[in-house]
Formats: sequence, structure tokens, C-alpha cells
Amino acid sequence: MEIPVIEKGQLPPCPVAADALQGIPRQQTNAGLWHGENWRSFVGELQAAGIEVREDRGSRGIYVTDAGGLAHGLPHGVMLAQDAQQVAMLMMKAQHYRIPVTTRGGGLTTEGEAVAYGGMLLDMTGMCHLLSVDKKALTARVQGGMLWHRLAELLRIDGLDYISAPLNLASSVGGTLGVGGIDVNSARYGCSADQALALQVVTPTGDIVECSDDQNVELFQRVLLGYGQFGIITEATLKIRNYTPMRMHYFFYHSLRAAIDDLMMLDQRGVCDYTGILTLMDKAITLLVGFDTPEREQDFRHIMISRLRGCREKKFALRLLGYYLPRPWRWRQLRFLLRWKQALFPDLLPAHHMQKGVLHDRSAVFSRAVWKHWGHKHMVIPDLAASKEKFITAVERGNAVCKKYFPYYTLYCVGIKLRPEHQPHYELSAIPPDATGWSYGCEFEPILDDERHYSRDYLQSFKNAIYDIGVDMGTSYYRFGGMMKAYIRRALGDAVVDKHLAWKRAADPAMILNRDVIF
Amino acid sequence: MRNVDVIIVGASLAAAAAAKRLVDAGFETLILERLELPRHKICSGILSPRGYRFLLENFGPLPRAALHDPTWCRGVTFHFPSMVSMPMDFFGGTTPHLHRKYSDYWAIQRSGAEVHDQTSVVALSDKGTHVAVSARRQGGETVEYGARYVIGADGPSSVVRKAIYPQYDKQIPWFFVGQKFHDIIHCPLDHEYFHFWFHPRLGHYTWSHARDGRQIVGVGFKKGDSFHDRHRIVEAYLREKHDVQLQPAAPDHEGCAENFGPSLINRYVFGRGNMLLTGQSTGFLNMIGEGMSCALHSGAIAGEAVVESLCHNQPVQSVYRQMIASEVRRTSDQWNPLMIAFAKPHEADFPAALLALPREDRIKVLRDIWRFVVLYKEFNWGRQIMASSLARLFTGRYPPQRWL
Amino acid sequence: MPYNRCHGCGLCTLVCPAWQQHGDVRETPKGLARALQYDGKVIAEQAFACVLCGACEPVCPQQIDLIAFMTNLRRRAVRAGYRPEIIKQLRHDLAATQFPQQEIQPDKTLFLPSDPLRRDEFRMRKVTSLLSTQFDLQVLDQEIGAVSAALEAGIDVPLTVLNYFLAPLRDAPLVIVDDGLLLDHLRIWLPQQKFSGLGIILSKLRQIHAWLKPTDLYVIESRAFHNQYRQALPHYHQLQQRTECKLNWDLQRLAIPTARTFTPQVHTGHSPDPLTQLRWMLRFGDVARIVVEDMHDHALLSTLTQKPVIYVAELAQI
Repeated sequence: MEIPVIEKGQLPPCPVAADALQGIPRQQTNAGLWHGENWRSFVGELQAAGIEVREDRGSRGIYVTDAGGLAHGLPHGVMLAQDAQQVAMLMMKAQHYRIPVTTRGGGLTTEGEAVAYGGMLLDMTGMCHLLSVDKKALTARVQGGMLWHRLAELLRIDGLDYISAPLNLASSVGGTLGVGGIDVNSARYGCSADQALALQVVTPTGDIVECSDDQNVELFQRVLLGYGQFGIITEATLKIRNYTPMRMHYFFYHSLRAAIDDLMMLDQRGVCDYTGILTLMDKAITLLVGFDTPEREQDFRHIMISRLRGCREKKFALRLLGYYLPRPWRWRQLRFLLRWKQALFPDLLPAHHMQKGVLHDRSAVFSRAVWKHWGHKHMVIPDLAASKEKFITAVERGNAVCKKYFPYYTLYCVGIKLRPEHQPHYELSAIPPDATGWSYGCEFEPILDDERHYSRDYLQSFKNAIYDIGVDMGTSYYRFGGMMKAYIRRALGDAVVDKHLAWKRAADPAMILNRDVIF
Repeated sequence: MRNVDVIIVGASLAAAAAAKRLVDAGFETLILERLELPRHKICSGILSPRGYRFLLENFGPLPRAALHDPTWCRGVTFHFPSMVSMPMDFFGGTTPHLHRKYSDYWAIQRSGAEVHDQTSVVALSDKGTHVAVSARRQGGETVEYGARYVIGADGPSSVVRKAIYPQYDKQIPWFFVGQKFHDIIHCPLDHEYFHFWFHPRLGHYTWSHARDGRQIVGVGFKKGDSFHDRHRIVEAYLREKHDVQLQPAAPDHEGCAENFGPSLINRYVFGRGNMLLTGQSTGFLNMIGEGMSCALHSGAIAGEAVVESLCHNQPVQSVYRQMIASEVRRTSDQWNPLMIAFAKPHEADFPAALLALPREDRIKVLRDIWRFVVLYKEFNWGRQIMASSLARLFTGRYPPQRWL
Repeated sequence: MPYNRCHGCGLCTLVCPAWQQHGDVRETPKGLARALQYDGKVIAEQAFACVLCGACEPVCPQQIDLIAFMTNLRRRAVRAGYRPEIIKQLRHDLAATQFPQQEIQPDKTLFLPSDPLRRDEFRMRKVTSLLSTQFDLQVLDQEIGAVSAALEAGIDVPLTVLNYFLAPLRDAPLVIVDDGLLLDHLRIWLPQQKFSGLGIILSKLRQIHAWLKPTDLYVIESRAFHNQYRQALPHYHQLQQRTECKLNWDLQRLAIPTARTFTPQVHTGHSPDPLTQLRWMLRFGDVARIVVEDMHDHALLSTLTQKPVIYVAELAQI
């Protein structure tokens, strides 16, 4: 039997019927293994150039899956990135021999984007140096494999800090710039990718190119929020800021709608430096606000606090009690809420990070809390990113899906300030095209524990149900990794995808760099 | 003696799904198949949308060679003795009409696992740290294998299941399901649909659909009856009641024994020690749902459980049972009258189609269904189904006490 | 939790001195655990890169016993014949360890000093007099260097030796141990017994912390600190708040190790370099004096810097 070869990025004609599985493009999302053609000659050339390729099973096994834990794949070999020249050499040879190359930073993708289905895995974390800091202009030049936690440590020496980064400590600068990256201050500063001023990129054909808003503009637009399709970020110049501790407040809500309204109102007025919503199911909804300076905090106290519909802890506890008392069949849920509150809140304001009532090193605090309370072998965090108008409906529909699949879950909502001048960067990304001013993202996160095993398909079905809402409502997705291949065409439409695919083919003729992520 | 990480017995769709998970994670996986590949398989070939999605996502778009003609199916039509017919479309579009001989072979190839065909497993013994497998190759040569785990994906009369539970086959009711192929003179049955009859006189499972220019007439009944007699009754019924005029059946008719009883009362066999069962050998033959998607999903889950066990030293049997619970829940929901009435467990909308009928037809249909269900009375499944339906209502899951 | 619970989140890499210096994930607990899950083979070169500082243990969300994991890896490598000459020498040292018959008074707090402290009469006297202000103290007159070195190198301590070693510890209400690695193992060997590191006890004394200045770098002994992270964390936080001295800790409030080891011979070129570690501790500048909790660190840092390095007990003006 002949199995037709389908070129990467191509949608083959459907032999079933024109309306077979409506809306689902005929793509294999759980990629097949690459079979290793030309691998030996390729490795031989790299070794001759003095590059170490690790081929023992143990070294390859380190990278077999990502934080999502749904996709698995074993690379043929692993290379630890050392410098741009070495990476360029790799890409040149890989292009010649048509060897798939998968780049990986912290490995925090959730749909297997950082998993190599055979071929070469390039571990970027070998390039983790801070190259220079400009204290006056507040910029820093870092290597692509820099992990945000390390960057925070290094910048702190000069009393500086990064602007915004994902709350997990372990993701890399290069990977984050490729996909976006949100933080609790994104409503004020935009996503992490918006903080990049210039990049050094190794193209899929092995050239080392500097790009920014003034230089090689097109490449800059492609690579930022480009899901690693158009080049490997080896260096980046980032905007940074002076370090400040954080002053935190919580407000509690019963209704998602009220909390989201207040979140949007605060963002619009720009009175807070940090805003976000963190919920336990749709029962305990917490609006988190934070401030960099005592003055801002004072202003907020004077003007805003009375306008918020949320209440403080004690009042909320009473209202919660009022809800649960007549519902004994929900007491198990109540017990869960109380247990979580007791475990989580001390970790969000730990005594050893407090100095004179303010929180120091929030990134370390939040990230460790995230890992401790939500960390699991499967990071299942599908999300929806929508314009302000559609957001509430999207969250409510997603909430219903969560309820159907899991007894306990969390919603995490943050605003992302959009930069009109960055519109070209956003095109392929998760920023919904109809959003103006801010786009809002909500992560739907089941609370999993190690004692209960779910099948991968169950978790994937849950994610698909969330993504389907996005397709249905015309919203988008905002996640650590890229979009699942099957969704990008449904979400963004054929015209946008084909335009970028044509660029991809021109930039990467052998289609080898980060295959199976979106094309 | 060849030592591998995992041996999968039977080159089926369940095997392909399990192999895909294992090969992806970098484990040496060997599939042993009794017949020569590509091998023939008795099946309607009508896949559900969920199964199709699994195939697409894991193995890619289907080649034309893996499909029969018509290449698609739009939905299912139920026929009742009162001559009411209810066509129901699948949610989300048409699904493929698989040519099992080639679709299975295609999926096996795409999984990336190594296959030894014409190799029948004759003995399995669990040594604690590994399983010793002896097999006989075509021509009589005996081959020995060793594997850390064995997955039985070898259908209703599974060799692996016999090795673990020799008594099991005797404890369950067996059915015979057979189909004959007729050249068509005149057939008013819509070729885009799979047709099913709720008729106690015709048998426990009666269906018909078009394939490669011919019409399939299929019958299922309790083991012991005569296939040809049963088939003659159905053929005559179709001619009289539905004006289906067919040539005499072609000589290539086929049939096999099936174990679909245990799945509907939620009684599964999942394996023991280092051996897992999956797909039809477990009992995942879901005749009013669809068997292939069960095979694919349960196969994948068996593969995942073994990966968990190999990498994270988790107890494979309990991990498998926990992960498969969602699949059991889904298939059992399809038999659960409460779920059918209120929760759309199927991939086509039966309650909506029922409500669309005129009132008197609706009553006829319900009465006919009841008369049909009574046919199964001798197996005492009704009470068991009701008991597990109630358990589902109050605890949200089906009790695993009945699993082996 | 055993290592096969590792799902590769990578939090341990962030705080691992070997990773911070070389950026090679294979030298970290994550790399070693994941590799072992897939391969079952120990990469000796990488297993011996670790300095057993223990910073990874408190951050592991899976609560894997990473020190036990690392020492187990080493034991497997040693059994498979890693560096046989050096291992032979260390085994010989262990066998030659004397266990003097000492009368143990059951109600007294037992103090187990490290070898360099024991040999240093002046500082030893300071420590014992400081401890005596708090505890009804008895000093155990026992060499521990060979045992620590054996543990670090991955040598199985023979049961007879272990019995001799543990016998006097069993009855004491509290044992103060001046060796972080030993502390870790003692908790496993005698799970019912109460242990504490020396540094935390000394630095709690007013006679000590009253003399700490904002220009001091106080170097916490990382192994003991991470071993009793829960108790130690609030204490050192308070210490810093009270004295405004600098601590050798990072954003996550984990101690930066000096990277000293008992058995440099068995370590490979992959081990982190102490000078780089010291520079990292001194990154904020403005340090006039270095105060160390551990005599080994004292010896090491004294050779690496021109700044005055003093032992914590010397702060007390008695």
C-alpha cells in the first residue's frame, strides 16, 4: 500500500468527503517520528567542526516531553547551544541535509512545541549569559537561552528588574519572545515580547542577522511572536526597569462578571501597577492588585477602593458560608476551598519575602507558588484571548467546560496592553485582531494531583473543547507555546496562515526549523 | 531470543494506537501478528467522528486506499418494525468508511513500530520482571521473545486474555456476527447512512449499508443459531418491507464470534501483572457506540500507562485503570438510559430525532425499542444497567468493582 | 519521594551551582533524574559534578529526596568501579577511624564538632562555651571527617562502623552536628532522634548576632541550611532584618554554596568553581568582612579573598 508523502505545511485533498469533520483541517497534530535520513553524515560534519552532539539515550531522554506531558518524542541527538556561530553552523548543515531542528529553552510548552520528533534538539539553555546592561537607557542585552529567573538575579545586582515575564521562573527569554509571555503587569506594559528592542537571530539557513525596528524590520516582525518558525533568537536587547518591591491587595468576588468588570475598569484607569484575577472554580474569585510605590497605593486607597464591588476576606467568608450552609451536598467543595486558601495564601505573601509590609522578589514568590500548587506532570492550561467585549462570555463558556471535565480548577485572567505600532508582530500571534487597547486572556487550569491519572486524550479533549469556544467566538489563544496545528487555520483563517507559510518556505526551504508547531 | 521493551499482540487499530505512544516515547516496540499483513478484518468500517479525529491527529490524513466506496458515512438510520425510520447525522460532519484491511495496515506503519507478521503467539508467561513470549512463525519455526510489558490487542478471542484469565470466555455470553455481500438490483436505502433495525424477530444486531457497489446485509445473534437461516430472514424482510432487491449473496461472506455483552454491563478485563488488555479483548466492543474509536482510545491509554510505568515506575495496572475510567464512562454512558435521555452521549442526536417525529410515531418507536430490548432479557442485563446508571447519577462514575 | 517522580519542571536547575556555572542540564538533578528514567545508566562524570549543597531539595515541587538521589547515584558509580584508587584510599581512611569509648551522659545535649573545629583549640573552646550558655552540653570526642568524606564520595559505610558511630548518639535529647551532609544522613539513619546544625544555633545567640554589621557577609553553610530549610528560613530572615548584614542567599532565599567538598579528588572538571561562587556571593559589593559558619568554608574562603574571614563563634566577645 502506498502512503502518499505530505509536505510540511500542506493540506492534502481529503479522500473522505468534502464535509468530513467540519472545521477540522486534515493535519496530524501528534507528529510522526522523523526517520533519520542523512543523520550520520550530518553529525559527522558537525563533529568535524568541533561541535559536540550527544547521542546517548540518557542525554536524549531528558527532552522526551515538555511541561504539557501530552506529546512525546525522542530526538536523534542533542546539542547544547554555546554561541551564535555554532548555532549558525548547525542550521547551515541541517538545511543542507534536511535535518529537523527543534529549539528548546525551559521546555515549558504545553502542546509539544519543544519536543523533537526525531532530528536534532538544540538546548538553548547553554546560552544563558547577561551580556551587558545599560543603566541609563534601562536596557539589557541577554542571550536567547537566558532563563527569566537567572535574569532577575543578575539584574538585581544593579537594582534593576525585567519588566514582565511568565510566572514560572524556568522559561527562557528566547522562547517567551517567540510566543508572547504574560505577567500580572501586562495590562500596564504589554506582553514580554513587547519589551524586546532588538534581536540577534540565526536564520533557518544559518545566517546571523541583527534586527530591530530600524534594521531588518521584516525579520524582526516575523521572529517576535513567530513561534520559532523564522529564526532562532540568540541574543535580545530588552527594556528593563528599576527594581521595586510590591504592595499587594486582594478583593474577593462571587461573580466572574463583577470581578472582570472591575479588572477592566482598573486597567482602563491605569491606577494599579499589577492586576489579575485568580479563582478557585467559579466560587472564590480573587482580584489581585499591586503597586510599585506607596504613593500609587495611597491614591488607590483614596479613590478606587470604594468603587470596587469585591469584598475583603472576612466579609467574603461570611457570604461563602451563607452560600454553602443550605447546600450540604457541596460541602466537599467548601472543604477544598478552605484547604486551598490555607495552603496557598501564606505562599503568596511569605514572611521571608516581606520587609516592612511590602513583598520583595515577587517573581520568585509567585512562581514557586505556581509550581507548588499547580505544578503537575501535565500542565494543562488552554486559554482564550479575547477583546474586552467578548471576554466575559468567553470566560463563562470556558468555565462551563472546566466544570464538565474537572471537579477542581482555576481561572487566571490578565489584561494585555496592546501596542498599536506592534500590530505587524501580532498578526500570527494570539492577539485577537478585533482587540483594541487591551486584549484579555484567561487560562483554564484544572487542579490535578499525582494520585489521579487522566489519559492524555481526556486532557486533550478538554483543551480542544476550550479551543473550540475560541473558534466559535472568533477569539484567540494566548499561551506558553504555539497554537496547535489543527487550530491555527480555524482561528486565523487560511489567508493569514498561507501568507506566513509562504514566508516560512522562503526563509526555511527545507522546512526544518521547529516543524510541527504551527505548519 | 529477542528482548524488547513492549510486545503488542495483534496488528489492530488498538495496537497501532498503543504503538504510537510507545514509539514516540522512544521505547522499543514489537507487534506480533498471526496473519500476513495487510490482513483482512470483519468490520462495518463506519468510524465515529471521535475515532476519525483520533486517526487524523495521531496518524495523519487517510490515504484513499484505506477507504471503501462510498468513502464516507453521513450518519445512522434506525428502522423499526412499525416502519418508522429515523435518519440521524453525525455531529460535525461525515466520517470515513474504513477499509479495515488497509486502514489498519496504514495506522500500524504510521505508528513506527516494528512488526513481525505471520507469527502466532502460543504461550505467555509473566516472570515478574518481564514476560516471556513464545510464538510460532509461518512454517512451524518457534521464536522466543522477552518483553517488559505485553499488550494484548488481539480482538475478541484474545490469546493474551486466555493466558491471564483462562476461565473468562466461558463466563460470558457470546454472539455471532456475520455479513454477506449482495450485488444490487434495486436498493432504496440511502447509501450515505448506516442502517440498523430494532427488530426482535430479525436478531440481536441487524444492519445494512453500501460498500464498493454492493449491499451488506449483516446479522448478529446469540451463538448457536445458523448464520444462513438468520441471514435469509433478514434478506426476505428487507425485500418485503423496504423493497430492497438484491442478487443472491456472493460467496465471500464472513462472520466471527463477538463478546459485546460485558461492555454494556460495564464488566471489563484490563490485565494483570505485566500484561495489559486493550480494545476488543478488554470488552470494548461497543455496538451502539462504535468499536473502532474505543479500540483507538483504549489502545493509546494502554500505551500511556506503560510509558508512565517505564519512566516513572508507576504501577501499570492501577495507572491503566485510572486513565481508562474516562473511556469506560463514555462508552457506558452510551448504554445508560438516563444519559441517552438527557446528556447526548452518542455522536448523533437520538433524542432530537425522536422529538422531530410526529407524536404517534414517537410512541411506536418507544414501544418498538422496548420490545427489542426484551430480546436481551435472558442475559439479565437490565437490572445491572439500571444499577450502574444509578451509581453514575450519584457518584459521577461507574463502579470499578466489576472490572477484572 | 523517589527520583522517578521527576517530571522535569527544571526548578532545580535554576538554583544548581553546577548549572549556573556551566549551563549544562546533564549536571543537574533534573538532567540526571530524567536521563536515568530513560536509560537506567548512571553518568558518573555528571553525578560527581554536584557539590551536594542541597539547594534543589526545598524547591522541588515533587518533594524528591534529591541529596539521597545524588548520593545513591554516586554509590552506583563507585560500585561500578569509578576512580578505584581514590575510593580505596577513602575506604582505608574510613576503616582507620577510631571510636573512642566515651561515657555518654544521657540527659546532655551532644555536640559533634567537625574535625577542623575539633583541632582548633581556641575556636573549639569558644563554641563550647557559647553552647554551654544554652545547653547542658557534652562534646563527643569523635573524628567525623572520614565518614563525611565516604558519604560524599559514594562509599557505603560498613554496618559495623555505622553502629559504632551511631551508638553514642541514640540517647541524647538533641545532637548538634557541625556537618551538613552528616546531618542529612543522620536524620535518615536515626529518624526518631532530634538533630540540629551548628550554624543556626550559634547565630541565634545574642552574643553572636549582636555583633553582626551591615557590611558583613554572613555565609550560611548551605548543606545544613537546606537540610533544615523550614526552621532555618525564618531564622535567617530575621537575622538579616535585625542586623542588616548580607547573606549568601538568592532571590528564592536559598543559600549560595561555597562549593567546597571533602573529597575534591573524586570530583570531576564539571564541579563548580569556588572562586566563582565567592564572586557571586559578593555581587552586591560593600562587604568589609566575611563571617562563616563552617570551618571548612573558613579555610577555603581565606585562600580566595583578601577580605577578613572570621568564624562565626569569634564574633562573641567572651
